[in-house]
Amino acid sequence: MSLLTVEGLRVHFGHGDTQVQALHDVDLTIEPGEIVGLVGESGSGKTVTSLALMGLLDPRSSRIEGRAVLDGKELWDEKGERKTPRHEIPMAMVFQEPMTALDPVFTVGYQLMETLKVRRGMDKRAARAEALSLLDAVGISDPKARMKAYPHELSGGMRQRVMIAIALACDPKLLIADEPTTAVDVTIQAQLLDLIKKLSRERGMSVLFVTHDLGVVSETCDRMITMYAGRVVERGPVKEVLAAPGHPYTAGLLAALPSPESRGGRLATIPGRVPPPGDVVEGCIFRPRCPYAQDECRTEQKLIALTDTREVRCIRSREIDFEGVAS
Amino acid sequence: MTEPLLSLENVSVRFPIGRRRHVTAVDGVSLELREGETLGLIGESGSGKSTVARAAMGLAPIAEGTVRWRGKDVSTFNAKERRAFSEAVQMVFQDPHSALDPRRTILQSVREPLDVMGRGNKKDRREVAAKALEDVGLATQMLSRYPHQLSGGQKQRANIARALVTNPKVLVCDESVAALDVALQAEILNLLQDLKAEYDLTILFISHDLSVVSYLADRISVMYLGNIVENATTESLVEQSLHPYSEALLSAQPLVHDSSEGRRIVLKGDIPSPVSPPPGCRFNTRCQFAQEGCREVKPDLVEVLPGHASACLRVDELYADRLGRTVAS
Repeated sequence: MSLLTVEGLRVHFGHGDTQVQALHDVDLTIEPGEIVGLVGESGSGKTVTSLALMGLLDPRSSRIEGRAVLDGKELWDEKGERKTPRHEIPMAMVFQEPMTALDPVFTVGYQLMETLKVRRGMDKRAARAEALSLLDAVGISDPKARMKAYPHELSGGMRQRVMIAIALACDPKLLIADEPTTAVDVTIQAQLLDLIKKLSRERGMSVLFVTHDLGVVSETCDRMITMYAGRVVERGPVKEVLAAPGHPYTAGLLAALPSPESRGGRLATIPGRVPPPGDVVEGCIFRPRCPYAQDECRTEQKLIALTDTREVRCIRSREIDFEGVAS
Repeated sequence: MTEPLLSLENVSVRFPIGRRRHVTAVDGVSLELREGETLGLIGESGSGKSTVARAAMGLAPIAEGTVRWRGKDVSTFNAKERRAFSEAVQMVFQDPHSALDPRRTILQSVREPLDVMGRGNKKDRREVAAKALEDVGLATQMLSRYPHQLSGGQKQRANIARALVTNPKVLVCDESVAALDVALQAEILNLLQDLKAEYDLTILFISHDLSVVSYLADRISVMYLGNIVENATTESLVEQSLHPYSEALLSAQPLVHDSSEGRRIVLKGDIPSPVSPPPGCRFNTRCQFAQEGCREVKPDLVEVLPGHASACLRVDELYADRLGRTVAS
C-alpha cells in the first residue's frame, strides 16, 4: 500500500468573485522509502501542494478539496478541515530558507528539544539525549556544543542540517523538502543531498522533494512529477523521463539548461510565462506556449498512460519525440 | 597580445570589523579582462567574487594593488576620466526587483544614468533609453509601467537596458540570472549573447552556478576565500581542472544526465570565515590531498599549462597525467 495517496486535490484562494483555483485535481502517490521529485517553475503549484499536505494553508483564505491519506490516516475531511491531530501525522517539512524557519532568539538545542517534547511527549532528559543523537545523525560535529548555539552562529549548511534534525524529531514517514538546497552553495548542496538520501535509506523514510533543479532531481529522486499551472503534466521514473520527456513542458525545461557543451549556441526557451491562477485557457493549459500545439489541443487534456509507470498530459506525446537530453 | 581593457594587479580589499580588526575579503587578486571576451568568476558565497567586481568598478575600498583601465591606474583619474570610466563599466545586479526603484516607471529608471550625466536634452535621453529598452526586448507599452507590473524576466531586461544606456564597454553581471527560473534564465543568457555582439561588449560574469558560467564564459577564474585558485579557458577548466577545489566544485554540480555517483567529491565542512583564514593554502582544511606543507606555505598562482594557472603546491604531483609530466620519485 502506498504511504501517501492524494486524489483530486484542489486548492482555492480567496472568496467570491476574486476566488482563484491554484491546484486542479492533483493526484499523487508516494511509496514507502521512495524519493519523489516535484518539479516546475515558480507558479506551477509545487509549493501549494506541499503546504496543503502539511496543513499550512490558512483556512481563512484558502479552501481545500479532495482526499489525502497518509499511512492510513485521512489528512482532512469533506469540509477540508483537519481530521487527525497534527502530532499523529507522521509528516514533517524542511523549508528553503533555514534562517527564517528557525527562531533566532532560541538556541538550536531548545528548538529541537521543544519539538521532541511536544511531538513525542518526551521529558527534558530524554529529549536532550534524543536531540544529541539527532544532531549526530544529520552530521553535525560536536553536537553538545552546537546545542547551545543560536541560529546566527551557524553556517547556512549547518542551519539546514538543524532543520532536518528538527524534522526528524517528528519521526516522519514522509519528509517534505521544499527547495532545501536552493539557498546554499553547490558544495554544501552535495553534502545535504547525500544526507537526505542516506536518511531516507536508513530510516525507510519517503521524501517529497520540491525543486526547480532538474540536475538535483536526476541525482536524488526515484520518480518525478512535473507540475504546470497547478496541474500534474507528467510523471514517471526519473531516468526515463529525463532521457525522453513525454511532455513538451518537461522537454522545454530540460532544453533550457545551459552547459559547457551548448556554449556559443542559443539556449532553447519557453516563450511566454506560466498563466496566473484564474486565467482561462481553452483546452490544454500549456497550449499557448507549446511549439507542438495543434487544433486537437483545444480540448481539455487528461493524464494518459504512456507505459505502466509513466503518465503524461499531452495528446501528441505518442506521435512526437520531444527533444530530450540524450543520456 | 593586446593590452587588457580592465586589469586588477594584486588587489586586496579589507573591511573593518570592530576595533582595529579587519576582514580581508579579497587577498592579492590579479585579473585581466581582455577586450571582447567573457570572463567568468566562480566561487561559493564568501569567496569574495562580488567584492572583486566592486573593486573593479571602483566601488570597494582598495587596500593594496592597482586597478587599471586601458593600462592606466584608476586611482589617479581626474574627475573627467573618472566619469568616462564609470560610463564605460556598468553593472547588472542579482535581484531584478530590488535594483529598480518601485516609485519610478521603467523608462525613468532606465533614463536615470543619462539624467545623472546630463547627456543631451530630455528628448534625446528618452530616445536613447527607449532604444535600449527595445534592444532588450521590452515592448513600448512597458515604458510607462512600474516595476511591480513586470515579471522577473522583464525586470531583469530593464536592469540590463539601464546598464546599456551609457554605451558601456564592460558589463559586470553579478549573479544576474540566479533569481530566475530556468526558462527565463535561458532567455536572459541568450539576450546577453546577442547584446554582447551588438554592443561590442566585454563581460565579467560572476556566478556560483558552474553550468551557467561554463555556458557563457570564454575563460573562468575560480575563487576561494579571497584568492583565485585557478585560471583557465573554459574547455581547459571543465575538461582538465588542475586544482582540487575546482575539481570538487565541478563534481558537486548536479547533472541531468550521467549521474555523478562514484565520481563526486563531497567536500567536508563549510568555507572557513575570512576573518581568520587558515594558514598556508586556504583550501587545506577541506582538501583531501592536503599535506603538512599545505598548512605552512601559501601557494602562488602559477601558469602550469599555457593559459592555465593553478595555485596548488602539489599540482605537479596530483595532476601529472594531465600535465603530461613524470613525477620524480
